[in-house]
Parts: sequence; structure tokens; C-alpha cells
Amino acid sequence: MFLKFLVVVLFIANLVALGTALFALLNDEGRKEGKRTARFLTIRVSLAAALLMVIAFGFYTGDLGVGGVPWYDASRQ
Amino acid sequence: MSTQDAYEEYYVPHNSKLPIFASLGIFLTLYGMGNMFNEMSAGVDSSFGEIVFLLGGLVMGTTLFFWFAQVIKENHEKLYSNQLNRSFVWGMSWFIFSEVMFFAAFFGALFYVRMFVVGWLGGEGERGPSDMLWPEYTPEWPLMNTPDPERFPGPQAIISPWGLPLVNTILLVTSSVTITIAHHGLNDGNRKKLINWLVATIALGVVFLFVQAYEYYHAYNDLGLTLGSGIFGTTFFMLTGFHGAHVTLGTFMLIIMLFRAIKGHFSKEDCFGFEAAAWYWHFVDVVWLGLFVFVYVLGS
Repeated sequence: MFLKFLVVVLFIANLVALGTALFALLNDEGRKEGKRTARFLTIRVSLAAALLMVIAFGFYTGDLGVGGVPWYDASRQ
Repeated sequence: MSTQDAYEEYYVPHNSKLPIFASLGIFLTLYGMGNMFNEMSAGVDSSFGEIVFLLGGLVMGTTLFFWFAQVIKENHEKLYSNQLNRSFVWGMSWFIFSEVMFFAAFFGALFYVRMFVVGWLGGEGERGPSDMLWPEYTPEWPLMNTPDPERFPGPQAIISPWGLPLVNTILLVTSSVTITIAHHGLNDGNRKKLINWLVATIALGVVFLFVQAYEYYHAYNDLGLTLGSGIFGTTFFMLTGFHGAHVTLGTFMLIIMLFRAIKGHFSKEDCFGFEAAAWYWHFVDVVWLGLFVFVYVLGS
């Protein structure tokens, strides 16, 4: 359950970082030297990598349903 | 100083036929797609829909090519003022807003169906009486047994998240890493780094699309998971299909950015086009993460 919570929190963090990058992109119009857009997008992709690692950990430990995904191969018959 | 001098010159282009061709392209694409789905569901062996769909895509692609070329040419001729550049930024803002709302609607449909409708049809809550229509129906998610299995047979199985979808997630997150490296290459004034990592990103995007196409083929031919196999199949293909369409669009954007990078169009001070395309690629990646988490992993 904790892993699922962590996955959702990291996903929301991804959304926030992406939104912040958008704000920087639209304000700086690709001109400012500060390059805030690239910085926020780097944070965004780091969060995505963290999310992927948490998912991989859940896959390895089985906490996110590895091998026992409830609907996988569930037969209608 | 007179009032007139205080304003920048706002370039207004000559009248153009391009919007007419764009409208024609959109019409043909959607008309072809509608026919394609109708032919599929009716089991008609005709390729009319596919041909019109591809023709529409071709008209649209060609129109956009000439449209972009014209905008880039005008930009290089320094016809654009700061005020006009802000118009482009606003155009991009509205485009992104419409994209966010577009996916919010489909994710909203998924959550609504999952959390409420499936339960109501099974007798839950104040709308439970609809249960009387299908007494044999058992609510579950994913919906393997639809209320009317004769008309809408559910899928035999559903795709495991730990096979191709996980591979696709790794591919797309890696492509976000490569586009970020390219972005830093642009900021550092390193054109070689920009070009090489852009090529890597485009390659990863294309591989993603091929894996997705293979997954669809597997779902249709081996699992009985189709657009017509109940609400799970419908929401699954709507969400992942439209996402795939956006990856395709993002890949085209990046290909154009690659050509522009090769021609040396970007500088640290003038790179809104690249930054907007890079941001769009990150957006497409986040949508996929949402799909992977909510449709595949937490789908139970």
C-alpha cells in the first residue's frame, strides 16, 4: 500500500515539475539566459526516473502485483 | 513621440491558401478514421476508410510542412516583433491547454466508469436498480464479463503491465533523458550534442510506436481485447491510442527540430520552437506515466 501511495505522490510531483517548466517556458519565451525551462525539465525527468525505480522495486518485490496482477490471464470461461 | 511610434510593427502576412488545405486535411483524416472504424465493426472487407485516412494525413503533413517553412522564413527575415512572438507563445499556451483538457476528459471517463458506473450496474448505491436489467452481471475491474456478453463479449485476457508496457515506459523515460541532454547541449552552445541526442530521442520514439503497434496486434489477435470488448477495451484503446497519436505528432515535431538544428537555426537567445517541442515531449511522457500507473499497474 505504501508503494502505491509513493507511486501516486511521485506522479503528482512529475505533474508539478512539468507545470513549473511550462510556466518558465511561457514566461521566458526561449530567450532568457537563466534557462529555467531546462532546469525544471531536468528535475521532471529525474522524478520520472525515481518513479520508474519505485515501480521496478514493486515489480521485484511483488508489492505492485508482479505475477499476481489480478486480471492478467483471467479467463472468461 | 506620437502614439503610433510607441508601438512595434506587427507583421500581418498576405492571404494564404494553407488554412483551407489544413481544413481539408483534417476533414479527410477524420472522415477516413470514422469509415475505418465503421468498416471494422461491421466486418466489411474494404480499405476505403484507410485510404482516405492516409490521404488526409498526407494532405495535413504537406500543409504543415509548407506552413512551418513559411513561418521559419518570416522569422529569419526578422519580420516578427516581440509582440508577435508573444502571440506564438499564447498560441502554444492554448494548444497545451486543449491537450490537457483532452486527456483529462479521457482519464475522467476512466475513473468515472471504474469508480461508479461498473458498481451501479451491479446493484451498488442509489442507482443500483439498474442491476435488475442484468441479474447475472458481476461488477469487477477490469470488466472481463460485460452486462450483455452476447452482444459485447469481454476480453479473454488483458495485457500484463510487466511485459511490453514496462519496456515502453523505460523507452519513453529514456527518451525524456535524451531530449533533456539535447536541451542542455543547446544551452551550452554545443550543436553536435544537440543533434546527436535529438537523433537518439527520435529513434526511441519510433521504437516506442512499433512496440505499441505490436502490443495492439497481440491484443486484437491473441487476447480478444478490442475496441468492442466492453468498457475496459474502449477506455484502454481510447487512452493508449490517442497517446500514441500524440507520440507520433511529437516525433514529427522533433524531426523538424532536428532539421532546424542541422541548419543552425537555434541559438541560446532564440530557441522557443525547440523548447516548446521538448516540453511537449515531456508532456507526452508524463501522460504515458499516468497511463502506465493508472491503467496498467493500479488497474485493479
